[in-house]
Amino acid sequence: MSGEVTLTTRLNRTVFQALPTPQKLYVLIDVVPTGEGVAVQMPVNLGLVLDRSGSMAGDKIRKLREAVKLVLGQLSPQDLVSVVLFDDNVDTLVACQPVTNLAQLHAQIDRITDRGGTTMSKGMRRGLDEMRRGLAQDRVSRMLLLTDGETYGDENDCRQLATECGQYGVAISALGLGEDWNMPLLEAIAGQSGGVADHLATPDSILTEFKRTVATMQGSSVRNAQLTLRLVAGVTPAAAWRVLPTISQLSQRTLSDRDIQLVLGDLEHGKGQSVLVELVIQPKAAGSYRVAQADVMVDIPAANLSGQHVRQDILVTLTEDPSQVTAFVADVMNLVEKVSVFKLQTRALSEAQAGNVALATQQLRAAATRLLNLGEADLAQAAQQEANNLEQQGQMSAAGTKKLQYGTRKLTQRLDDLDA
Amino acid sequence: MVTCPVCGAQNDPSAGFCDQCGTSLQGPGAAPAPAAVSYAPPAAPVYTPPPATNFGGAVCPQCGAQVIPGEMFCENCGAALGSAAPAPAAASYAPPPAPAYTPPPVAAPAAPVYNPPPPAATASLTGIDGQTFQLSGKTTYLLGRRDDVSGNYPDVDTSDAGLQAGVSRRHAELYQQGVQWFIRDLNSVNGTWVNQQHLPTNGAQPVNPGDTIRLGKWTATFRV
Repeated sequence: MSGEVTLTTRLNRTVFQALPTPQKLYVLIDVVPTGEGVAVQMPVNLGLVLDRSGSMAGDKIRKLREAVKLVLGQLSPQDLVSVVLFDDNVDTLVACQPVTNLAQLHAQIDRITDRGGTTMSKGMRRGLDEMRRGLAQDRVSRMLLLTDGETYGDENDCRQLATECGQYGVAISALGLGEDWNMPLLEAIAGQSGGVADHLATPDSILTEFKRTVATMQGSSVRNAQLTLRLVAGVTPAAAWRVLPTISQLSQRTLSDRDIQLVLGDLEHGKGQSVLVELVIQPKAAGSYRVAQADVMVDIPAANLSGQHVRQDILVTLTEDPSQVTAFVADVMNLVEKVSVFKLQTRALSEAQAGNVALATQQLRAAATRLLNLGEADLAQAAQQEANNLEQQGQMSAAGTKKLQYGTRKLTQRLDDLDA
Repeated sequence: MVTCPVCGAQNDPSAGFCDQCGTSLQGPGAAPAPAAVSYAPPAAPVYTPPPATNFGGAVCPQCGAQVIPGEMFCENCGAALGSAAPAPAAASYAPPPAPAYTPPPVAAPAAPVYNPPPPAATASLTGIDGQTFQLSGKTTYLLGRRDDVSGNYPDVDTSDAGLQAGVSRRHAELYQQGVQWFIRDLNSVNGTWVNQQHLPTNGAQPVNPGDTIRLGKWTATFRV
């Protein structure tokens, strides 16, 4: 492959001390589509599945209409769009079609009004049915599912539909607006379809998030990326995290003794993804060694290529001389620290759910300290507040939980992503 | 095929490193790498001290959980573990673990205009908690909060006062011009005061024996 995808690997130091005990090191792996051949705007198949239940009344529904129109403006005639609205019932507002007549589409969008309850699975079913009419190898398909509340009694249907979406290659961006939605359900829907869940604190953020999702889809010129790390003997994987574009833990199932297989999915041109891997190496004498080989396999539909590989050796240098040990690589350490915060708050949430209030409180306070260190005063305060809530009332608040969960995930987000 | 000198595995002739154990297969001594490198002989004595106390059963200084050397944050409680391995809880930080960080001997400021008394008169800062920091042997002293992650080791380290003291990592510096001492704020978040007088951001002001210096909420008395 002629340099369409750039693979770089860095350790948290360039020279480590040779220790008589096992030691941990951190590897940052950046996979970024950079070649000219992948700088193309991908045709998309966007399915909007939107909650119009009574609770969406007012500013939420107004901002939603605005956001849908904004998204339509980003699309071109090569793209397909469908809009499905759900409450207790479901309506297809815009059947799957190319974005050719904006005026007519806008008129249809203006008919979005609030009413009724929430039965999300109906919306997902109809949304997927519409999207299936536009599925194609060289088209990026994604469902934008927006809700502000609990769905009534059809959670299992929603999960099954998410799995079905994943099988059709339709990843779901599951967006929860406000504080009253079901976090585990949206997380499951996103996870099972290969998408992401996110928290929209205010109606204003609907616009930003819709816009960002479409831009990401259009930039996803490299698809089905899979990263394999082949480890040498004496090196074991401890954990793997996606750190860019947002932080998430990559499944432990992907870790075996000799290799790590990570599914990265679509890669956005110029941005790509970064993965942080924690490795434990057994004692070795001074010298330079390969600890692993990184291998990325991708498809590039625009160039009609599939199964393309790019490889990179990950080398570690050990020295017996402490004065030759180099300082930390600052940007790698910065990501290590951010991951540690994400890890702390994730563990605090599960400890709190398991009733281990003391440990959860301690972990939240530690997270607050780290967040302060990182200059994230707002999130630090939220962590501190939730630690207090736990201590005094034995539980965390729904709003604070969501703020922490989704805020720490976005610690690595680059500023230019925020309102681009 | 090429046979790895260390583990005996068969490798492709073009392989740079052994697939099995990662040893380098290229270069003159496709022999075990360490032998080739120059610093082998003196190495043994050099690194005896730290490992003896720290490794093999290293623990988190905050919660006592087991940690692996090289780990940056405790898996259990999230405490920053700093460099290679944490010191036992008792040995409260006096010698920062990494010798690499000992600041350079600050040769530069000596040269310019001021015809200074190089053996600077020893000064000290005593915090309200009673901790005293001796200021001697240098011309500029960094005041702030230690941060193992970024390798920030100030001369006057207020870490014991905790984060709630509001001291930045690089909060202010004390330095001498001639016989006069000055303090300069280093764009700190929570500000620097001398005798209740607030310094402008990045501003400098003379300090005299007996003056009270405040960084955020951390207060200390300056003595010469």
